[in-house]
Amino acid sequence: MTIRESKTDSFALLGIGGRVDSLNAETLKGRLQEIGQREARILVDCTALEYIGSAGLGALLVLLKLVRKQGGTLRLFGLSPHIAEVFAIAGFDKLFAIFPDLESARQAAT
Amino acid sequence: MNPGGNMEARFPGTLESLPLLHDAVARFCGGQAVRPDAAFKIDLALEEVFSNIVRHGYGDGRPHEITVRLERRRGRVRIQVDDDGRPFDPLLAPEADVAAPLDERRPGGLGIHLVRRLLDQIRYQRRPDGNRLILVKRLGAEERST
Repeated sequence: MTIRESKTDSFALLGIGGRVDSLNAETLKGRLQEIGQREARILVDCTALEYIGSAGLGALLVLLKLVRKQGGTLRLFGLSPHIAEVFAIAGFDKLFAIFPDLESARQAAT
Repeated sequence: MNPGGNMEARFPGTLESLPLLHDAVARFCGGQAVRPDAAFKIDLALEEVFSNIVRHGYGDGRPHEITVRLERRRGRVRIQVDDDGRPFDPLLAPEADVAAPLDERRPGGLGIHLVRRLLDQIRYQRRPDGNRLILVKRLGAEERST
């Protein structure tokens, strides 16, 4: 699993890559909580995300709740078809704002 | 490819085994020409089942092992997971309400929901020496013909 953080315009850009399983999801959760407490506008780049199980989904849910509580914005983009299917089965496609790519995520109306 | 191929491996009952489990599933699926879509689902379901056992099946502080057997036959992959933990039927655990709004969403129960939806059959058997889960993933028409 890799976690990269950078900035684009007014957004914090967070890239999650590789495999997020039950072994490393706690690490992800810790990072997401820390980022969610200091950033109000976050884009999550899932282009390099190969795998995510329920533990990783739980970590994203924590981030979403944190951001919403603070009236912030969280957008995901670049989900592979496999990852998109997992999101849909989990009902996460109804909870998260999901976009095909960085440009569409950046430019979406808030 | 071996059309009637199977693989059996034993893993320490800890989350640290997950990368090894993933490697074993990838090798099996590659060797059996299971397509990436089905391989992804088998991989994910097996991780959820394995993690569930590690989290809920022990609690006695002793070392445990989990045996995973993968078999490809008659257009499907059959997965058997045996553990020596206390009686634990994951099918009886409450499932996540995936239609609930954000405020009511809880992290628990999502794993078994994913397993039920990604695979085609799940059966639980309590055995004298532990638990057995049998999972079945049906393969697509193209895979069945190979």
